[in-house]
Amino acid sequence: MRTVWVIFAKEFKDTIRDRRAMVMMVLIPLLIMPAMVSGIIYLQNKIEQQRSPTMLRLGLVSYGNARGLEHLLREQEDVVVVTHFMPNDIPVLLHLDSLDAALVLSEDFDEQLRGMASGVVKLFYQTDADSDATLQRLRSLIDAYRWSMLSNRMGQQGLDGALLEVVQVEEVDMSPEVDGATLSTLQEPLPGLRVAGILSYFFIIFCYLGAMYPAIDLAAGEKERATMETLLTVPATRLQIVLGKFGVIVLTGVASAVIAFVGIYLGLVFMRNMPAEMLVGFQRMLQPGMLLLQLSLLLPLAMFFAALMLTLSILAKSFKEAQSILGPLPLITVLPAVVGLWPGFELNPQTALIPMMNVTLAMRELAAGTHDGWSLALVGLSLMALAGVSLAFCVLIFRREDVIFRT
Amino acid sequence: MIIVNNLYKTFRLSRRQQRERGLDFVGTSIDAVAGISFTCQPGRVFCLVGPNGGGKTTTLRSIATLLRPTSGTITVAGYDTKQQARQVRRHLGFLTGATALYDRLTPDELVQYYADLNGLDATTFRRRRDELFGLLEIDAYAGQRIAKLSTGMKQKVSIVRTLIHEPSVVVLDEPTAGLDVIASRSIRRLIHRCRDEGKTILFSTHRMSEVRLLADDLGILHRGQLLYLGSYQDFHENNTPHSLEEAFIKIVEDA
Repeated sequence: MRTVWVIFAKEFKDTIRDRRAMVMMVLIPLLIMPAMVSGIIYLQNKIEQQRSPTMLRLGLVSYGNARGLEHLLREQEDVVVVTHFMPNDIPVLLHLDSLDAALVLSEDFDEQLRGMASGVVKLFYQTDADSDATLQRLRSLIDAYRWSMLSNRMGQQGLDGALLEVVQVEEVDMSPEVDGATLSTLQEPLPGLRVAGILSYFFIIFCYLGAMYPAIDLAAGEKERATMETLLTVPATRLQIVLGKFGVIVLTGVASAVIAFVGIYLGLVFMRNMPAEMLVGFQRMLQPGMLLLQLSLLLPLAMFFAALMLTLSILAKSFKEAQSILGPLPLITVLPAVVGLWPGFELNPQTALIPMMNVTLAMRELAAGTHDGWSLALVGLSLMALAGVSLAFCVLIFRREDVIFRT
Repeated sequence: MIIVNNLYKTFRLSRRQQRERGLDFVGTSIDAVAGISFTCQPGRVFCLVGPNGGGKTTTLRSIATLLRPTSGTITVAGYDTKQQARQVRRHLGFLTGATALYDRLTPDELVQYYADLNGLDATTFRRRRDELFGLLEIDAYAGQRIAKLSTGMKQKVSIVRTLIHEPSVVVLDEPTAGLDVIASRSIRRLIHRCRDEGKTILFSTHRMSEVRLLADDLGILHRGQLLYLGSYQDFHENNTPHSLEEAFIKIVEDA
């Protein structure tokens, strides 16, 4: 074990001094992530603006009441209704321009209506250039609902002055009190497919890219520089050498993915106009408990990549050949991940065995809150088993002199 | 001691390699080394000379357990290279033909790494490091990144790496190739010192001037076969000093 540690420590030191590896492992995820996230958000907002320049992003917390109102709002072509959040999320969502306004119905809304009383709707908004127009539109929508309900009542009960007040609107300006507010834990499950898709894609890509340069350098690079030859004359077994190198590649893969998450977090902190559902989805996935669960997926994924890349790198004749083999590989590895996002696929004992797809499916379950420990463990174990097989093969070919001296 | 007994090393050739060897080539493999036998004694320097492609590096790699003999046996410090490779490596210091170092480490870090891999304790490491760094005058640049060092400096660091664990058998593949006169001299001094300490030294070169300055025993290897094996003294007595090169060329050309 000491020999493995000696090799690991040296390879780690060597790797963190390698500018190319550090650019791939640290700079790109840290700088590119916020740029990518803002790019995605920008494009999404742009598309929405093109569809309807006055699209209203409206949050609705109805507690299952006033189906008619929700239906009416959703029928509007220029209104996007966002429902998966809690009332105490509203300040942040308004502050970050993820919502233009939000309606919160009282929990006894329907009961009040049935009792011929008024249901209370709170309208949250923030004063800005568009707030007058927003309020105007919302008031007219609520009026439409009010009058439809009133008409029902009149039909059922006859005319009465008190019955005219079906909906009482309380408008609350939230502008000055939003700083420092935090999002609450969601209690209802989120579909979160989009967020899971983006995160699993980042997971896979950055884990791969972060590990790629060290894998090339520590095997093909060493062969090319002939340092491998001297390393093989020390009293260490091939397994010990492979494990030392493997450990560094796993570490760089994990570090790169974690740094990418830091990048996402920075993106969220500095970003405006993020769609509310995405913002809430990201916030949910970045909570400590969820991060730990994701890390439990990331580690076996990094092990799988490290074993695969180390094997291919040892087989390569030179640094350049290893680059040409490992460079395009993400295009292939991402395919099963993309397939995992298609509807109809779910995490089961069969799909848990398909690398990359299993990560996407597991992330989807995490985002939706439908995950269970066994399925995550199955994904982790299957990836580790594949890593083990790759590693065994790697040691096997590492013993072959025609591979070591293949230049 | 190194005992090489009837060593054969055959390499299979790919179709491309077969084509590259021309129309005259028949077969699917080549014997890089074909039945050579020799012994390197402790306290003596055995010099393996031969033109490029003659089988020197294959022989040295086989001794260093990097290549497995196709047939024949090699014993290093009493251990068989096929059966007891790890024990062989414990007693062996091997300097490859290339100055193979990690550019992003410093000489200090590199030597420490190899000392750790060879299981050297801290006290022995410190003593050996100071001794070798002083002898080869490395101290001045011991903390600089290897990438910034000259070829001569790098080769000196390589030699320290080879000797740090006090191996009883030292195998050096062209240790002075590409070095200036001063660097070559300090390396030769170190080889002499190792010999005086009773180590077994085997080194390869294609420069007869080097042989003249270092060799106790001599083997001339060409096309995988030993054309001459004996003491340098005998070789020298049969050839005048200024015509050693000619003698070597004659032996090779007559083969």
